Amino acid sequence: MKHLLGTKDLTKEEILTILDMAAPMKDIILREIKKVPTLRGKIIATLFYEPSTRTKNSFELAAKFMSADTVSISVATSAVQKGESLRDTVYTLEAMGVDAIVIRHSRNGAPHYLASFSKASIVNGGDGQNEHPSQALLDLFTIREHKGRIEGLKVLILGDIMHSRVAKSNIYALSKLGAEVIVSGPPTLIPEHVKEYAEVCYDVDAAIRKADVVNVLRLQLERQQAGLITSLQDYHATYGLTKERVAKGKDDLLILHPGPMNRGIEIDEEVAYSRQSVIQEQVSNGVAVRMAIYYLLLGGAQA
Amino acid sequence: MILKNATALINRQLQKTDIKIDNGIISEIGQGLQGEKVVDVEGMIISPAFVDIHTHVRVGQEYKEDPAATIARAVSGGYFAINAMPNTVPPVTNAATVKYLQNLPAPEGFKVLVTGMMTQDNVLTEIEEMSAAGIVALSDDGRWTDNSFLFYQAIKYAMKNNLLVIDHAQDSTLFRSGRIYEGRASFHTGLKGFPKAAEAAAIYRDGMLNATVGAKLHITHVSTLSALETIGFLKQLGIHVTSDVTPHHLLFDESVYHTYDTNLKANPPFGDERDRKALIHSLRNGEIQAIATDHAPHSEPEKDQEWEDAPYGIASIDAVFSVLYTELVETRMIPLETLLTALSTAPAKLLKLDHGIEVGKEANLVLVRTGITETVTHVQGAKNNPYIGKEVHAKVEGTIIKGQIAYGHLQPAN
Repeated sequence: MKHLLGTKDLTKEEILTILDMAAPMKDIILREIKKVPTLRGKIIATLFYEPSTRTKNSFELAAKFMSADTVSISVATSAVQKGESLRDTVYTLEAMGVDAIVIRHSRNGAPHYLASFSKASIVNGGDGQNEHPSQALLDLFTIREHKGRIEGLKVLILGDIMHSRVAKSNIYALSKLGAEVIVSGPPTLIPEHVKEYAEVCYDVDAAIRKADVVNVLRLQLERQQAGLITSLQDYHATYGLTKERVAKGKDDLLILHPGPMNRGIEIDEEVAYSRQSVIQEQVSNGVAVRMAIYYLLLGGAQA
Repeated sequence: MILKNATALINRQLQKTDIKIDNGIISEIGQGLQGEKVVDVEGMIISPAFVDIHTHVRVGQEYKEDPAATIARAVSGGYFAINAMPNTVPPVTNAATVKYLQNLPAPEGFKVLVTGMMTQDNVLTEIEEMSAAGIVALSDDGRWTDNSFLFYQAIKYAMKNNLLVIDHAQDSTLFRSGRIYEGRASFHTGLKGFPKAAEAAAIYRDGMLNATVGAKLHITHVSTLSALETIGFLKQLGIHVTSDVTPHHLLFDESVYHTYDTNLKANPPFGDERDRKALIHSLRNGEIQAIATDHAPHSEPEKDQEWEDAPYGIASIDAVFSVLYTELVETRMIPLETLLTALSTAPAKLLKLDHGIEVGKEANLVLVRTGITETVTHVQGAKNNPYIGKEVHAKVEGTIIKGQIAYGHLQPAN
């Protein structure tokens, strides 16, 4: 594998390889000395055109645990502010010997554009409303840790499917691994073509009753101004993951959220910190999964 | 000059004949013509030269493509007339800009027709003066005229001055909400989708407003099945409406967006396979009269960036015939006669040009050869041509404008 652009382009086997590889990586994180020499001498750059706390730091920590050197370009302080194009920015990084570039960009397909000319491995850290593959892979890893499998599970993805790259990457990956995907949310935020991959169930209560896993999506608060939702209060009442709704679901319902959360809107505080919630664990698993991704992109040949 | 042993498109039919040209005029058509300067064109097909109803000539934005290059590309593509869209810098809103465009340097006899803006900043442009200066059409191309009242007034001026109304029919609010049509591709690429109804709804409004006016309403670059159905419905009501389609809407569907290739970024976006088949079908049965290139050159830096930031537009006027022949005629989806007519006399008629292979008419001809194998290359001008590198099975051998060889290596035998 040269690049990781999306789960849409991965095979079932590739997804399973990453998940399998992430388990020993997690062991490394849990050690006293969190360092292996696997990527010594490699340089990994994070190029983030959008704000991020967990994804950026997770990718950087994952690189450091594997002994790679990291360069972090944050757009606010770089030559991008002087109008440097994406192509030239990447050429600059390549000239410095960078082996992999993790990019987050508001434009759909920006990682694909880089992959079309870059010699470095490109890792999609989230592009527009398209894909966020590392997030989906860490979600699957977390689900598998708890449920022991993916195949045959009913996974509900709840919220703004239309604009969510997390949702799309999850939908592709889950369906490749044989999970039954259910989506629920406001009719304006459920794209018609999701039906090729998932069952659409507008009745949130019914969907929760069926589900083994629920992945709650962050709601962008400006969706009301854009004319897509009726009101935040209405959204919470109709589509929010409330304590009452969770109580009606299976006892071992697993609750995920990619963060950052809008507590009291798409998810209730009590739910986010309940025994069924694995939201914090997702963050730890994120580092392990990203180590596995690096290993496959950069370390595989030497190993 | 005598073109010997031609297969010529006369009255929409191909027939074996010779064509004699004197002083830029077709003087004789028939077999066994005698005279000086004989060019043997055995094996070639002669059609009335092509006419483009929709060309973006980048006056004021020469960095995108110099107008001289646009015209040279048009001539090499078999065209003798282009209709310049008004979104130049400054835009065509008065007689002075009209004259500037009309007088762009071009081979003798080549026609740069000019379309004027219909409205600007929510008022009418100087339509009367532009008409006096010789515009052939009105258009707010690239941007639909949101203001229904103003559009209604503008088409009355168009009717009075016998101007074509070239309508980029696309509801603006819906268009602004997305980048491509809502559908499979918008889901798979993340590119925001807007509903296809944006096109049909705009056509319906404009058509209904034209019901009592009777202007020559022309829907340009039709892209969806529902747009075609809406046009059909308006025609049933007896409303005057014509249409054209671009080569790229005939050849591509939304599946190409997966590559994020900015050279395939055009507005309107591509529909799905059903839309594309419906466009081909409508071209074949004459419901769509003409093929318009929507030649829209852009510079390399503009196209070499993130897909969503790159401008809309495809510049392929020099490759249109060879590509369409290869993809539509050779595959038996469109008869050659239909393709040639839709590129030549049909758009000429919409633009009121007296055109065709007929004694007494100006000798504006294109000579093409089919059954060969060539690769489309970039020769000059903008590079946002998705056909570069493509294998084609036809080429333009020569373009004759006002009796003169404007392009090609046709050598008289004596």
